[in-house]
Amino acid sequence: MTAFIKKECMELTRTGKLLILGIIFIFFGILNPAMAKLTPWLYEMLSDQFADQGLVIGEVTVTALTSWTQFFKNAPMVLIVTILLFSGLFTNEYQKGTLVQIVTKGLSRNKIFFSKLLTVYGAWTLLYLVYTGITLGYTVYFWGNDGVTNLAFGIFMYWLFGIFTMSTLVLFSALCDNSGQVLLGTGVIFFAFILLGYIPSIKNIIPSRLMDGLTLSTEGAVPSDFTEALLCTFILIAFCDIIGVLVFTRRKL
Amino acid sequence: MEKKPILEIKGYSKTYGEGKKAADNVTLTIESGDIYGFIGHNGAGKSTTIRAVVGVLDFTEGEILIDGHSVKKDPIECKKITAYIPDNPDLYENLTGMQYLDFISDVFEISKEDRKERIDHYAERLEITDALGDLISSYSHGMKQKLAIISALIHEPKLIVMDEPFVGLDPKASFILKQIMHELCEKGTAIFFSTHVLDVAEKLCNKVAIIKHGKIITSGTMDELTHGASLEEAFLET
Repeated sequence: MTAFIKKECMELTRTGKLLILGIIFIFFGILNPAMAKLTPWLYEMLSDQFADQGLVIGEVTVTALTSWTQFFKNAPMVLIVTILLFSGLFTNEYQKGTLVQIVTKGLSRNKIFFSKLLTVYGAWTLLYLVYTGITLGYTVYFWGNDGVTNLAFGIFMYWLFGIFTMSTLVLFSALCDNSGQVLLGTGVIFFAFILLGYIPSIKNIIPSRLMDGLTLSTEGAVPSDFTEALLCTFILIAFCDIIGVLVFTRRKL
Repeated sequence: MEKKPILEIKGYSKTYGEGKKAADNVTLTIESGDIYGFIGHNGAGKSTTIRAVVGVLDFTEGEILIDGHSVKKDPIECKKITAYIPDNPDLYENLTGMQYLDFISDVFEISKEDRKERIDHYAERLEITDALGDLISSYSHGMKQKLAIISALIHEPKLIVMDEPFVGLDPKASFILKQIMHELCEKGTAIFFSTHVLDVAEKLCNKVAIIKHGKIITSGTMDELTHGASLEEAFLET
Protein backbone atom coordinates (compact mmCIF):
# COMPACT_ATOMS: atom_id res chain seq x y z
CA MET A 1 0.00 0.00 0.00
CA THR A 2 2.90 2.34 0.78
CA ALA A 3 4.19 1.84 -2.76
CA PHE A 4 0.89 2.96 -4.27
CA ILE A 5 0.59 5.97 -1.94
CA LYS A 6 4.14 6.93 -2.91
CA LYS A 7 3.19 6.64 -6.59
CA GLU A 8 0.07 8.76 -6.04
CA CYS A 9 2.14 11.45 -4.31
CA MET A 10 4.68 11.43 -7.14
CA GLU A 11 1.87 11.87 -9.67
CA LEU A 12 0.34 14.68 -7.61
CA THR A 13 3.65 16.50 -7.77
CA ARG A 14 4.42 15.70 -11.41
CA THR A 15 1.02 16.77 -12.70
CA GLY A 16 1.38 20.08 -10.84
CA LYS A 17 -1.87 19.47 -8.92
CA LEU A 18 -0.17 19.81 -5.55
CA LEU A 19 1.49 23.05 -6.63
CA ILE A 20 -1.80 24.52 -7.92
CA LEU A 21 -3.63 23.51 -4.75
CA GLY A 22 -0.76 24.81 -2.61
CA ILE A 23 -0.87 28.20 -4.31
CA ILE A 24 -4.66 28.45 -3.96
CA PHE A 25 -4.70 27.42 -0.29
CA ILE A 26 -1.83 29.82 0.51
CA PHE A 27 -3.58 32.59 -1.41
CA PHE A 28 -6.84 32.15 0.51
CA GLY A 29 -4.90 31.66 3.77
CA ILE A 30 -3.36 35.11 3.25
CA LEU A 31 -6.57 36.60 1.88
CA ASN A 32 -8.53 35.95 5.11
CA PRO A 33 -6.51 38.29 7.40
CA ALA A 34 -5.77 40.60 4.46
CA MET A 35 -9.48 41.15 3.85
CA ALA A 36 -9.97 41.81 7.54
CA LYS A 37 -7.04 44.21 7.63
CA LEU A 38 -8.27 46.06 4.54
CA THR A 39 -11.90 46.31 5.67
CA PRO A 40 -11.56 49.72 7.46
CA TRP A 41 -9.63 51.13 4.51
CA LEU A 42 -12.28 49.83 2.06
CA TYR A 43 -15.08 51.36 4.10
CA GLU A 44 -13.18 54.64 4.35
CA MET A 45 -12.60 54.67 0.61
CA LEU A 46 -16.26 54.01 -0.09
CA SER A 47 -17.59 56.29 2.64
CA ASP A 48 -18.04 59.26 0.26
CA GLN A 49 -20.14 57.16 -2.11
CA PHE A 50 -22.21 55.86 0.80
CA ALA A 51 -22.59 59.44 2.12
CA ASP A 52 -24.02 60.52 -1.25
CA GLN A 53 -26.67 57.85 -0.78
CA GLY A 54 -27.36 59.02 2.74
CA LEU A 55 -25.52 56.21 4.46
CA VAL A 56 -23.16 57.10 7.26
CA ILE A 57 -20.55 54.60 8.22
CA GLY A 58 -19.21 54.76 11.72
CA GLU A 59 -15.86 53.57 12.92
CA VAL A 60 -15.17 50.02 11.78
CA THR A 61 -13.46 47.85 14.34
CA VAL A 62 -11.58 44.84 13.06
CA THR A 63 -10.70 41.97 15.38
CA ALA A 64 -9.37 38.46 15.10
CA LEU A 65 -12.97 37.33 14.67
CA THR A 66 -13.22 39.31 11.41
CA SER A 67 -10.28 37.31 10.05
CA TRP A 68 -11.78 33.99 11.16
CA THR A 69 -15.11 34.97 9.63
CA GLN A 70 -13.29 35.29 6.32
CA PHE A 71 -11.64 31.93 7.00
CA PHE A 72 -14.98 30.13 7.27
CA LYS A 73 -16.42 32.08 4.31
CA ASN A 74 -13.54 31.09 2.03
CA ALA A 75 -13.24 27.49 3.21
CA PRO A 76 -15.92 26.27 0.73
CA MET A 77 -13.86 27.80 -2.07
CA VAL A 78 -10.75 25.80 -1.24
CA LEU A 79 -12.87 22.71 -0.76
CA ILE A 80 -14.47 23.11 -4.19
CA VAL A 81 -11.06 23.60 -5.82
CA THR A 82 -9.86 20.40 -4.15
CA ILE A 83 -12.92 18.52 -5.47
CA LEU A 84 -12.27 19.84 -8.98
CA LEU A 85 -8.64 18.76 -9.02
CA PHE A 86 -9.27 15.31 -7.56
CA SER A 87 -12.32 14.50 -9.67
CA GLY A 88 -10.31 12.25 -12.00
CA LEU A 89 -8.89 10.15 -9.18
CA PHE A 90 -10.15 6.81 -10.50
CA THR A 91 -11.84 7.84 -13.74
CA ASN A 92 -8.56 8.95 -15.35
CA GLU A 93 -7.12 5.53 -14.60
CA TYR A 94 -10.23 3.76 -15.94
CA GLN A 95 -9.99 5.73 -19.17
CA LYS A 96 -6.25 5.18 -19.62
CA GLY A 97 -6.35 1.53 -18.51
CA THR A 98 -3.45 2.02 -16.11
CA LEU A 99 -5.08 0.14 -13.24
CA VAL A 100 -5.11 -3.13 -15.21
CA GLN A 101 -1.32 -3.35 -14.98
CA ILE A 102 -1.37 -2.74 -11.25
CA VAL A 103 -4.22 -5.12 -10.47
CA THR A 104 -2.36 -7.90 -12.28
CA LYS A 105 0.76 -7.27 -10.24
CA GLY A 106 -0.57 -8.56 -6.96
CA LEU A 107 -1.81 -5.35 -5.43
CA SER A 108 -5.31 -5.98 -4.13
CA ARG A 109 -8.12 -3.68 -5.18
CA ASN A 110 -8.80 -2.90 -1.51
CA LYS A 111 -5.27 -1.60 -1.15
CA ILE A 112 -5.54 0.48 -4.31
CA PHE A 113 -8.83 2.01 -3.11
CA PHE A 114 -7.58 2.82 0.37
CA SER A 115 -4.27 4.14 -0.98
CA LYS A 116 -6.14 6.63 -3.13
CA LEU A 117 -8.50 7.48 -0.28
CA LEU A 118 -5.61 8.08 2.13
CA THR A 119 -3.79 10.18 -0.44
CA VAL A 120 -6.82 12.44 -0.86
CA TYR A 121 -7.37 12.62 2.90
CA GLY A 122 -3.69 13.41 3.35
CA ALA A 123 -3.66 16.10 0.69
CA TRP A 124 -6.80 17.77 2.10
CA THR A 125 -5.38 17.61 5.64
CA LEU A 126 -2.00 19.02 4.64
CA LEU A 127 -3.44 21.81 2.52
CA TYR A 128 -6.06 22.67 5.14
CA LEU A 129 -3.29 22.88 7.75
CA VAL A 130 -1.41 25.29 5.50
CA TYR A 131 -4.60 27.34 4.96
CA THR A 132 -5.30 27.40 8.72
CA GLY A 133 -1.69 27.98 9.73
CA ILE A 134 -1.29 31.02 7.50
CA THR A 135 -4.55 32.59 8.66
CA LEU A 136 -3.69 31.83 12.29
CA GLY A 137 -0.19 33.29 11.97
CA TYR A 138 -1.30 36.58 10.45
CA THR A 139 -4.35 36.87 12.72
CA VAL A 140 -2.31 36.41 15.89
CA TYR A 141 0.33 38.83 14.56
CA PHE A 142 -2.19 41.60 13.79
CA TRP A 143 -4.83 41.22 16.47
CA GLY A 144 -3.91 38.45 18.87
CA ASN A 145 -6.52 35.74 19.09
CA ASP A 146 -8.64 36.99 21.97
CA GLY A 147 -12.40 36.75 21.77
CA VAL A 148 -12.40 33.72 19.51
CA THR A 149 -13.72 30.81 21.49
CA ASN A 150 -13.47 27.10 20.63
CA LEU A 151 -11.60 27.99 17.46
CA ALA A 152 -9.69 24.69 17.28
CA PHE A 153 -12.97 22.77 17.48
CA GLY A 154 -14.53 24.90 14.74
CA ILE A 155 -11.49 24.35 12.52
CA PHE A 156 -11.57 20.61 13.24
CA MET A 157 -15.26 20.43 12.27
CA TYR A 158 -14.65 22.03 8.90
CA TRP A 159 -11.74 19.68 8.32
CA LEU A 160 -14.06 16.75 9.06
CA PHE A 161 -16.66 18.13 6.66
CA GLY A 162 -13.87 18.21 4.08
CA ILE A 163 -13.04 14.58 4.83
CA PHE A 164 -16.70 13.68 4.33
CA THR A 165 -16.71 15.51 1.00
CA MET A 166 -13.51 13.70 -0.04
CA SER A 167 -15.13 10.35 0.82
CA THR A 168 -18.09 11.28 -1.36
CA LEU A 169 -15.71 12.29 -4.14
CA VAL A 170 -13.78 9.00 -3.92
CA LEU A 171 -17.04 7.02 -3.91
CA PHE A 172 -18.29 8.73 -7.07
CA SER A 173 -14.85 8.50 -8.65
CA ALA A 174 -14.83 4.72 -8.10
CA LEU A 175 -18.40 4.47 -9.39
CA CYS A 176 -18.44 6.77 -12.42
CA ASP A 177 -16.82 6.59 -15.84
CA ASN A 178 -15.70 10.19 -16.24
CA SER A 179 -14.82 13.29 -14.22
CA GLY A 180 -18.01 15.11 -15.25
CA GLN A 181 -20.16 12.45 -13.61
CA VAL A 182 -17.95 12.54 -10.50
CA LEU A 183 -18.33 16.31 -10.21
CA LEU A 184 -22.07 16.09 -10.76
CA GLY A 185 -22.51 13.38 -8.12
CA THR A 186 -20.29 15.06 -5.53
CA GLY A 187 -21.81 18.46 -6.30
CA VAL A 188 -25.36 17.17 -5.89
CA ILE A 189 -24.50 15.67 -2.47
CA PHE A 190 -22.61 18.82 -1.41
CA PHE A 191 -25.40 21.22 -2.34
CA ALA A 192 -28.14 18.86 -1.16
CA PHE A 193 -26.70 19.02 2.34
CA ILE A 194 -26.40 22.81 2.10
CA LEU A 195 -30.10 22.99 1.16
CA LEU A 196 -31.08 20.47 3.84
CA GLY A 197 -29.37 22.81 6.29
CA TYR A 198 -32.31 25.20 5.82
CA ILE A 199 -34.76 22.66 7.24
CA PRO A 200 -34.88 23.40 10.99
CA SER A 201 -35.81 19.88 12.08
CA ILE A 202 -32.73 18.25 10.56
CA LYS A 203 -30.21 21.04 10.17
CA ASN A 204 -28.44 20.12 13.41
CA ILE A 205 -27.79 16.51 12.53
CA ILE A 206 -26.44 16.71 8.98
CA PRO A 207 -22.77 17.14 7.95
CA SER A 208 -23.24 20.67 6.61
CA ARG A 209 -23.79 21.76 10.24
CA LEU A 210 -20.02 21.27 10.65
CA MET A 211 -19.49 24.30 8.43
CA ASP A 212 -20.95 26.50 11.18
CA GLY A 213 -17.82 26.48 13.34
CA LEU A 214 -17.92 30.24 13.66
CA THR A 215 -21.14 30.07 15.69
CA LEU A 216 -18.98 28.78 18.54
CA SER A 217 -17.55 32.32 18.76
CA THR A 218 -20.39 34.46 17.54
CA GLU A 219 -23.64 32.86 18.61
CA GLY A 220 -22.67 31.23 21.86
CA ALA A 221 -22.82 27.69 20.49
CA VAL A 222 -20.93 25.03 22.43
CA PRO A 223 -19.14 21.94 21.08
CA SER A 224 -21.83 19.61 22.43
CA ASP A 225 -24.34 21.27 20.07
CA PHE A 226 -22.54 19.53 17.21
CA THR A 227 -22.48 16.01 18.64
CA GLU A 228 -25.28 14.68 16.41
CA ALA A 229 -23.80 16.24 13.29
CA LEU A 230 -20.39 14.79 14.13
CA LEU A 231 -21.83 11.32 14.67
CA CYS A 232 -23.85 11.53 11.47
CA THR A 233 -20.77 12.64 9.54
CA PHE A 234 -18.61 9.81 10.91
CA ILE A 235 -21.30 7.31 9.91
CA LEU A 236 -21.64 8.80 6.42
CA ILE A 237 -17.85 8.77 5.94
CA ALA A 238 -17.74 5.08 6.87
CA PHE A 239 -20.75 4.41 4.60
CA CYS A 240 -19.15 6.16 1.60
CA ASP A 241 -15.84 4.36 2.13
CA ILE A 242 -17.44 0.92 2.49
CA ILE A 243 -19.69 1.38 -0.55
CA GLY A 244 -16.73 2.83 -2.48
CA VAL A 245 -14.50 -0.17 -1.83
CA LEU A 246 -17.33 -2.60 -2.66
CA VAL A 247 -18.00 -0.81 -5.94
CA PHE A 248 -14.32 -0.71 -6.87
CA THR A 249 -13.63 -4.37 -6.10
CA ARG A 250 -16.50 -5.43 -8.38
CA ARG A 251 -15.85 -2.97 -11.16
CA LYS A 252 -14.73 -4.12 -14.61
CA LEU A 253 -11.40 -2.48 -15.47
CA MET B 1 14.11 -30.26 -15.83
CA GLU B 2 10.97 -31.86 -14.42
CA LYS B 3 7.80 -30.60 -16.07
CA LYS B 4 4.89 -29.62 -13.87
CA PRO B 5 1.62 -27.82 -14.57
CA ILE B 6 1.92 -24.07 -14.00
CA LEU B 7 -1.33 -22.92 -15.55
CA GLU B 8 -4.41 -25.13 -15.55
CA ILE B 9 -7.60 -23.84 -17.12
CA LYS B 10 -10.45 -26.26 -16.43
CA GLY B 11 -13.82 -25.81 -18.09
CA TYR B 12 -13.59 -22.02 -18.08
CA SER B 13 -16.60 -20.24 -19.57
CA LYS B 14 -17.45 -16.57 -19.70
CA THR B 15 -20.89 -15.34 -20.64
CA TYR B 16 -21.67 -11.68 -21.19
CA GLY B 17 -24.91 -9.99 -20.31
CA GLU B 18 -26.68 -10.71 -23.58
CA GLY B 19 -26.07 -14.43 -23.15
CA LYS B 20 -23.19 -14.45 -25.61
CA LYS B 21 -20.48 -16.91 -24.65
CA ALA B 22 -17.06 -15.31 -25.14
CA ALA B 23 -15.35 -18.44 -23.81
CA ASP B 24 -16.98 -21.84 -23.75
CA ASN B 25 -15.60 -24.70 -21.66
CA VAL B 26 -11.95 -23.79 -22.30
CA THR B 27 -9.56 -26.40 -20.91
CA LEU B 28 -5.79 -26.05 -21.24
CA THR B 29 -2.70 -27.05 -19.29
CA ILE B 30 0.55 -25.14 -19.62
CA GLU B 31 3.58 -26.75 -18.02
CA SER B 32 6.84 -25.29 -16.81
CA GLY B 33 9.17 -24.66 -19.74
CA ASP B 34 6.32 -24.42 -22.24
CA ILE B 35 5.97 -21.60 -24.72
CA TYR B 36 2.29 -21.96 -25.42
CA GLY B 37 0.77 -20.05 -28.32
CA PHE B 38 -2.89 -19.10 -28.20
CA ILE B 39 -4.22 -18.48 -31.67
CA GLY B 40 -7.53 -17.28 -32.96
CA HIS B 41 -9.32 -14.68 -35.04
CA ASN B 42 -10.30 -11.31 -33.66
CA GLY B 43 -13.08 -11.83 -31.13
CA ALA B 44 -12.38 -15.57 -30.84
CA GLY B 45 -12.02 -15.35 -27.05
CA LYS B 46 -8.24 -15.04 -26.63
CA SER B 47 -8.21 -11.82 -24.62
CA THR B 48 -11.26 -12.89 -22.60
CA THR B 49 -9.40 -16.01 -21.53
CA ILE B 50 -6.15 -14.17 -20.89
CA ARG B 51 -7.87 -11.48 -18.82
CA ALA B 52 -9.49 -14.16 -16.67
CA VAL B 53 -6.14 -15.88 -16.14
CA VAL B 54 -4.51 -12.66 -14.92
CA GLY B 55 -7.45 -11.84 -12.66
CA VAL B 56 -8.84 -8.80 -14.43
CA LEU B 57 -12.03 -10.47 -15.60
CA ASP B 58 -14.38 -12.32 -13.30
CA PHE B 59 -15.91 -15.59 -14.46
CA THR B 60 -18.70 -17.84 -13.31
CA GLU B 61 -17.88 -21.29 -14.69
CA GLY B 62 -14.75 -23.37 -14.45
CA GLU B 63 -11.54 -23.07 -12.56
CA ILE B 64 -8.16 -21.53 -13.26
CA LEU B 65 -5.14 -22.66 -11.24
CA ILE B 66 -1.69 -21.08 -11.28
CA ASP B 67 0.94 -23.32 -9.72
CA GLY B 68 -1.88 -24.95 -7.78
CA HIS B 69 -3.42 -21.70 -6.51
CA SER B 70 -6.94 -20.80 -7.56
CA VAL B 71 -7.25 -17.47 -9.37
CA LYS B 72 -10.64 -16.99 -7.69
CA LYS B 73 -9.84 -18.09 -4.16
CA ASP B 74 -6.24 -17.00 -3.89
CA PRO B 75 -5.79 -14.16 -6.42
CA ILE B 76 -2.96 -12.35 -4.68
CA GLU B 77 -0.81 -15.51 -4.44
CA CYS B 78 -1.46 -16.16 -8.15
CA LYS B 79 -0.49 -12.64 -9.14
CA LYS B 80 2.74 -12.80 -7.18
CA ILE B 81 3.98 -15.55 -9.48
CA THR B 82 2.41 -14.28 -12.70
CA ALA B 83 3.42 -11.57 -15.12
CA TYR B 84 1.04 -10.00 -17.59
CA ILE B 85 2.09 -8.06 -20.64
CA PRO B 86 -0.96 -6.55 -22.37
CA ASP B 87 -1.09 -5.63 -26.04
CA ASN B 88 -1.44 -1.98 -25.13
CA PRO B 89 1.06 -0.85 -22.49
CA ASP B 90 -0.98 1.63 -20.45
CA LEU B 91 1.54 3.02 -17.99
CA TYR B 92 1.69 6.04 -15.69
CA GLU B 93 2.77 8.76 -18.11
CA ASN B 94 3.76 11.23 -15.42
CA LEU B 95 6.42 8.98 -13.96
CA THR B 96 9.85 8.35 -15.40
CA GLY B 97 10.67 4.84 -16.58
CA MET B 98 12.86 4.31 -13.52
CA GLN B 99 10.20 5.60 -11.12
CA TYR B 100 7.69 3.21 -12.67
CA LEU B 101 10.04 0.24 -12.31
CA ASP B 102 10.81 1.26 -8.73
CA PHE B 103 7.09 1.44 -8.02
CA ILE B 104 6.51 -2.04 -9.44
CA SER B 105 9.52 -3.35 -7.50
CA ASP B 106 8.03 -1.86 -4.33
CA VAL B 107 4.73 -3.62 -5.05
CA PHE B 108 6.56 -6.94 -5.34
CA GLU B 109 8.81 -6.05 -2.38
CA ILE B 110 12.00 -6.70 -4.36
CA SER B 111 15.20 -5.74 -2.56
CA LYS B 112 17.18 -2.73 -3.80
CA GLU B 113 20.08 -4.94 -4.93
CA ASP B 114 17.91 -7.42 -6.83
CA ARG B 115 15.84 -4.76 -8.57
CA LYS B 116 18.93 -2.87 -9.68
CA GLU B 117 20.51 -6.02 -11.08
CA ARG B 118 17.36 -7.09 -12.94
CA ILE B 119 16.50 -3.62 -14.25
CA ASP B 120 20.08 -3.12 -15.46
CA HIS B 121 20.05 -6.54 -17.12
CA TYR B 122 16.77 -6.23 -19.02
CA ALA B 123 17.09 -2.50 -19.78
CA GLU B 124 20.52 -3.13 -21.28
CA ARG B 125 19.25 -5.98 -23.44
CA LEU B 126 16.19 -4.08 -24.61
CA GLU B 127 18.33 -0.97 -25.16
CA ILE B 128 16.25 1.33 -23.03
CA THR B 129 18.76 2.17 -20.27
CA ASP B 130 19.34 5.75 -21.44
CA ALA B 131 15.61 6.49 -21.56
CA LEU B 132 14.78 5.27 -18.04
CA GLY B 133 15.25 8.77 -16.64
CA ASP B 134 12.75 10.27 -19.08
CA LEU B 135 9.03 10.68 -18.53
CA ILE B 136 6.98 7.79 -19.89
CA SER B 137 4.83 10.33 -21.72
CA SER B 138 7.81 10.95 -24.01
CA TYR B 139 8.13 7.24 -24.93
CA SER B 140 7.05 5.69 -28.21
CA HIS B 141 4.66 2.70 -28.17
CA GLY B 142 7.62 0.35 -28.57
CA MET B 143 9.51 1.89 -25.66
CA LYS B 144 6.44 1.64 -23.46
CA GLN B 145 6.12 -2.00 -24.46
CA LYS B 146 9.77 -2.58 -23.50
CA LEU B 147 9.17 -0.94 -20.13
CA ALA B 148 6.05 -3.07 -19.60
CA ILE B 149 8.15 -6.16 -20.41
CA ILE B 150 10.83 -5.21 -17.86
CA SER B 151 8.18 -4.48 -15.23
CA ALA B 152 6.65 -7.89 -15.93
CA LEU B 153 9.92 -9.79 -15.58
CA ILE B 154 11.29 -7.93 -12.58
CA HIS B 155 9.86 -10.35 -9.99
CA GLU B 156 11.00 -13.49 -11.82
CA PRO B 157 7.51 -14.94 -12.41
CA LYS B 158 6.73 -18.62 -12.90
CA LEU B 159 4.08 -17.81 -15.49
CA ILE B 160 4.21 -15.08 -18.12
CA VAL B 161 0.97 -14.24 -19.89
CA MET B 162 1.24 -12.05 -22.97
CA ASP B 163 -1.41 -10.56 -25.19
CA GLU B 164 0.08 -9.87 -28.63
CA PRO B 165 3.51 -9.08 -27.12
CA PHE B 166 5.27 -8.23 -30.37
CA VAL B 167 2.90 -5.46 -31.43
CA GLY B 168 4.83 -2.19 -31.66
CA LEU B 169 8.25 -3.72 -31.06
CA ASP B 170 10.97 -3.09 -33.60
CA PRO B 171 12.55 -6.18 -35.23
CA LYS B 172 15.58 -6.13 -32.96
CA ALA B 173 13.49 -5.81 -29.80
CA SER B 174 11.22 -8.63 -31.04
CA PHE B 175 14.27 -10.81 -31.58
CA ILE B 176 15.62 -10.02 -28.11
CA LEU B 177 12.23 -10.69 -26.52
CA LYS B 178 12.11 -14.09 -28.22
CA GLN B 179 15.60 -14.81 -26.89
CA ILE B 180 14.52 -13.81 -23.40
CA MET B 181 11.42 -16.02 -23.69
CA HIS B 182 13.58 -19.02 -24.62
CA GLU B 183 16.01 -18.36 -21.78
CA LEU B 184 13.22 -18.07 -19.23
CA CYS B 185 11.62 -21.29 -20.45
CA GLU B 186 14.91 -23.10 -20.09
CA LYS B 187 14.84 -22.02 -16.45
CA GLY B 188 11.35 -23.47 -16.02
CA THR B 189 9.12 -20.44 -16.60
CA ALA B 190 5.89 -21.11 -18.50
CA ILE B 191 4.82 -18.65 -21.18
CA PHE B 192 1.28 -18.35 -22.49
CA PHE B 193 0.75 -15.81 -25.23
CA SER B 194 -1.79 -14.85 -27.83
CA THR B 195 -0.83 -13.86 -31.33
CA HIS B 196 -2.26 -13.30 -34.77
CA VAL B 197 1.11 -13.89 -36.37
CA LEU B 198 1.23 -17.59 -37.16
CA ASP B 199 4.88 -17.50 -38.26
CA VAL B 200 5.88 -16.25 -34.82
CA ALA B 201 3.86 -18.96 -33.11
CA GLU B 202 5.28 -21.64 -35.39
CA LYS B 203 8.89 -20.67 -34.75
CA LEU B 204 8.57 -19.85 -31.06
CA CYS B 205 6.08 -22.23 -29.49
CA ASN B 206 6.37 -25.86 -28.54
CA LYS B 207 2.60 -26.06 -27.97
CA VAL B 208 -0.36 -24.28 -29.49
CA ALA B 209 -4.08 -23.99 -28.92
CA ILE B 210 -6.51 -22.68 -31.50
CA ILE B 211 -9.66 -20.97 -30.25
CA LYS B 212 -12.72 -20.20 -32.37
CA HIS B 213 -16.00 -18.66 -31.22
CA GLY B 214 -14.88 -19.15 -27.62
CA LYS B 215 -14.16 -22.87 -27.98
CA ILE B 216 -10.82 -24.62 -28.15
CA ILE B 217 -10.83 -26.29 -31.56
CA THR B 218 -7.53 -28.05 -31.15
CA SER B 219 -4.48 -27.99 -28.90
CA GLY B 220 -1.23 -29.86 -28.45
CA THR B 221 2.39 -29.86 -29.54
CA MET B 222 3.28 -28.20 -32.80
CA ASP B 223 3.82 -31.60 -34.47
CA GLU B 224 0.48 -32.92 -33.28
CA LEU B 225 -1.27 -29.93 -34.78
CA THR B 226 0.55 -29.53 -38.04
CA HIS B 227 1.43 -33.14 -38.96
CA GLY B 228 4.34 -31.81 -40.94
CA ALA B 229 2.35 -29.07 -42.68
CA SER B 230 2.58 -25.39 -41.76
CA LEU B 231 0.69 -23.91 -38.82
CA GLU B 232 -1.06 -21.59 -41.26
CA GLU B 233 -2.49 -24.56 -43.14
CA ALA B 234 -3.53 -26.25 -39.91
CA PHE B 235 -5.16 -23.04 -38.72
CA LEU B 236 -7.08 -22.50 -41.93
CA GLU B 237 -8.36 -26.09 -41.84
CA THR B 238 -9.99 -25.58 -38.44
